Amino acid sequence: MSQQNDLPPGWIAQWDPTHQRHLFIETTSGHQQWEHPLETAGGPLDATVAPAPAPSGHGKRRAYAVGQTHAYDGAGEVAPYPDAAGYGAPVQPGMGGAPAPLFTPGLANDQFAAQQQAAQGQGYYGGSEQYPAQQPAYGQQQPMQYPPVNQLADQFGHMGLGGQKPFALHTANLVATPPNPLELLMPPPEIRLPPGASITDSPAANADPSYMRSTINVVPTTYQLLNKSKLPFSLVLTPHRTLKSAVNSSVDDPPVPVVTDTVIARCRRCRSYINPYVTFIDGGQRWKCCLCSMSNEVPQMFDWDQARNQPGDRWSRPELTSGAVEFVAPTEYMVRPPQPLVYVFLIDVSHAAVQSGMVATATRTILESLDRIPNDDNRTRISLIAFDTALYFFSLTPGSTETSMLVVSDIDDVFLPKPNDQLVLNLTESRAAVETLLGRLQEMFQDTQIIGSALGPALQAGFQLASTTGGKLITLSASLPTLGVGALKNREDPKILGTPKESALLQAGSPFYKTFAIECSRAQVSVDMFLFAATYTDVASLSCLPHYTSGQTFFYPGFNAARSEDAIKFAHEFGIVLGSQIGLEAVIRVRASRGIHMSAFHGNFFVRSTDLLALPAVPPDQNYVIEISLEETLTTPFVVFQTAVLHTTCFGERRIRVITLALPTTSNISELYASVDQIAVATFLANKAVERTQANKLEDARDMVQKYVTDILGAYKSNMTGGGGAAAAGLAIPTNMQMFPLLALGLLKHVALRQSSQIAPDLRAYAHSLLTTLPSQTLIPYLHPSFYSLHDMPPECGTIGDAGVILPPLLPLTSERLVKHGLFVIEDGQTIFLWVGRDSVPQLIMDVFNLPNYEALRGGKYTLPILDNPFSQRVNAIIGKIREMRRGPYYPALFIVKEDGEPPMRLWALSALIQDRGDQTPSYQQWLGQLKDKLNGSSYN
Amino acid sequence: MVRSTVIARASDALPLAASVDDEQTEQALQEHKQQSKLIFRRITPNSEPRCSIESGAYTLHYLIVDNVVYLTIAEKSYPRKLAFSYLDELSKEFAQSYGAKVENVRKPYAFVGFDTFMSKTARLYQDTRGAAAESNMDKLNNELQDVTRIMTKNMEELLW
Repeated sequence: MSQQNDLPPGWIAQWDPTHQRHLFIETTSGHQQWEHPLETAGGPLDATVAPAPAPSGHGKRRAYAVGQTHAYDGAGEVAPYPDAAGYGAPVQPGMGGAPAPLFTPGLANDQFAAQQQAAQGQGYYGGSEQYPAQQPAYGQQQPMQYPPVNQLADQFGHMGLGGQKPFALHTANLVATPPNPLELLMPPPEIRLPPGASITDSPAANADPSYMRSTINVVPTTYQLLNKSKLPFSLVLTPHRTLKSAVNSSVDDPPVPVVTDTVIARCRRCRSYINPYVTFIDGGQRWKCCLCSMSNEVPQMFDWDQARNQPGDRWSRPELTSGAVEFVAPTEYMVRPPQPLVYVFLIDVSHAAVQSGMVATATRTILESLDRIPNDDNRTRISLIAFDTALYFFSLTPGSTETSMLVVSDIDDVFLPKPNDQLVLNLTESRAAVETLLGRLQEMFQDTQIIGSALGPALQAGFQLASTTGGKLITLSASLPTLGVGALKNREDPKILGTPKESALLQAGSPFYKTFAIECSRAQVSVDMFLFAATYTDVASLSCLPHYTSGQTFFYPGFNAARSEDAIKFAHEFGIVLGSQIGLEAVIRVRASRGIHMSAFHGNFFVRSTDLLALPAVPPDQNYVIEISLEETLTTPFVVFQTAVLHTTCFGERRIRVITLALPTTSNISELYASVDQIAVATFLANKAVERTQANKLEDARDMVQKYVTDILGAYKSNMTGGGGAAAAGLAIPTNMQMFPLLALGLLKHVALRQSSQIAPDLRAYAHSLLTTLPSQTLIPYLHPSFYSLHDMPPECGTIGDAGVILPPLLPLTSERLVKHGLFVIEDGQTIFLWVGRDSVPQLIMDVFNLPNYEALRGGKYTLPILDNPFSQRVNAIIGKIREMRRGPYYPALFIVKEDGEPPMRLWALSALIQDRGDQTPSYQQWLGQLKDKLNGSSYN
Repeated sequence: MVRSTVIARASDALPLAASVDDEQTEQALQEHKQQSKLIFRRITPNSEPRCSIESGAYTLHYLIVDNVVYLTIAEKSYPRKLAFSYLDELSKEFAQSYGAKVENVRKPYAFVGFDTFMSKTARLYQDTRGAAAESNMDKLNNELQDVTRIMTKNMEELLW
């Protein structure tokens, strides 16, 4: 940890695992203390950076932000790292300095007193280490920053507050508080349920927020209250997520516990599943549903351990202790035996596809991934269709390496040249033949001169192959479909970009893709699209298929396998998709307590009846957003939301994954504001904006985002600050939403929504598909990129720490932080820019790129060499960490951006620095000014 | 030809494995599949170990070996001998692969991986005519056991 480097000479820091914090020891005297020596000594940083007023109110919480600004401005004394091997002037963010607190009039007096006490005591998060200077990684929270709930409770206990703990609402002034990227790593506001809400009191009674989170962690009792606050109310779910940990890359998160005895207790009335929030009545013979209060019988076998054939312990059943649980389903949940996994590959073999190297890369990747395709019980079947202006089927003989190709050139009325079971083959039995075919495919078509693509007919043929059992059509297309059904026209017209007509290009160009998608959904067929194109390929139309059939879209503009970076990126992502453990034949239903209704659904699926989401396949790490409306006054102290995903695993087991979330209710608007999860709100807004673009226009989507932000700020101002006093000078916002305006601005400046006449519709459409499918962990950096400085990073960065490779401190997204001699990384999870300043010293260029000087370096896609020097290894470790730290199949490509390089490349990289002024977009400060003017000039006072 | 096959545990009718049928078969046999579920539930230790049940255009043949019921739905015209020979072959392979585990499983379709063998075997029994099939059938006919004592029932009788 960074603590090591901030210490005055003679001190060491030792991590104490039992207390989850550092112990500081003065080596000469042996003196030990918990507080950081610089802080107890009123350290040099405090003294020089800001002559801070006496810490009062909740200043502690914002101390870092202000201190850091001073450091950014260069106002503070800079204390270099004692042993920093920097290439330029290292800058250390300062600590300390507290601005006067904003009094929150909406808070009851005793609450305010509580704020003050807490702040004067230990600070809200216990101890002096609340914002360590170096945050190791995005999403890597050091446990010590967020003490366990009971510790927090203890603190409140000491304050002598009886009964239910109130939410402490803090108001921040946006204008005076520069955004701190570390805020985005904070966990959502704590869910404080009334004592005894969960019958087992298990810490896992509410599932991890990565499975299901809400935009507000307290539910208003009436819709009037919700309306008054202007806050959106939605659930953000990723029920089927991979187990890669967000905190520590070397260990996985625990898997979802599985109930294997097929005893499933459900409410007779509302059909919800038994969960930690039900209550047992009649001596444990019956249970009362927490959603609808129905009294139900406990199933006979509920207390019986069938595996050991002896009485079991009810309280250890996972469904009563865990908010995320999976049931093995009995036959009643099946309409047919579990289907085998069926993959039908549709590969474009036209001239463009072969020339770009797509065919060769794709076949090689499939070949290498054959062992990773889930096939535990040897049931997986695969089939392959190649297409250009005709369709090529391959009939394989199990056990031999013989293949015969069958050409169907009638694309108006697609038929299968052989019966289904001779074209779709068991992977295990036909392994040899499949391998031979994949090895030869490129060769078969390598001299093709055929231009044109019958993608639609190929999809229909694939559908005929897969529809008998259900399955997945994996489509690889390298040109615009021009023949047969689903043919598309080149709609791209530079003249209409940036005009209101542009929005039409973002909607499907042919009704075929939607109607066909619905046909697929019904037959349990899911479509994945891998699109490679040198020119326009109408991503907007083609991505319709994955959208309604719960597939995924991947887009590789200008793909050329001769560039190894392109080939590696595609092969990596394709390989992960092939190897991922998908669910099949799934339906999702979300239930909630009485009075709460699901009103709208966003994500890749088809809404079958009013609230049943149909997913022929469930790829991991897909995000779904569900809007919620309140239709009755809530009378219970807490409410429960339950998501159930009935699916078939790729190992032929029918299962139900149940995610339960309980949230307390309130009639107090300040609690409502204090419980806002800004990450979830931003995720919701991104989904809503894409929906608005597809239904209306880009402008409408931008206006909508703007309106959400102004409405929330306006409502907060009039409800919580009385519209006058100290807050009138600034923009008041709850501290837990401080980053929300910047995230919204990031969305407005995002390639998906930005006002510009330069953005190709394909890129926009692909960004739309990412915005609606990425889980929050990946979506937030996509809106608010991460920005690191490498040339002066602290010495431990790039080395392996407790939680994997240590990343440099996050910087605010403004070009003020770029220096001429610097080396910077800007990354959004899809792309990594390595920014090289024009005055970089030759030694730096030599160490990182193995080139003599800056002039010899070329911009563009790049593979960083791994050189025999510590700095190169650290930079490579950091890039490697950025590529693998988030969930999802994406493998960001690395681009070198030279400060004086090609303008488009520079502008692209700089567009990621969202606090700066853009071409037609305001800077963050300007935007805040606009918001303020709007609020002051309107009726919000 | 045999259209669809289900293997279930005799004692509690828990399905153990089933053939993967295509959409058309699924539609055509909807009613008969319901009937087969009923048959599984009616089976007791005293039930006939071999039985053919006629039901409309199809006949349901079942065989009970070691607490496992093998049931197939075939066209009415399909020779009974062949149907039982098919079931017999399945039972031998199934007992060998999964026999020991049958008593302890709780989840449905625990041995669904058996469908690969089933579909392969069903292909052998697909056609009673044809040159290629001829030799198959001859071979099979010779190997056939005495199936004359198989009981025949009518679905209606069973239902009432």
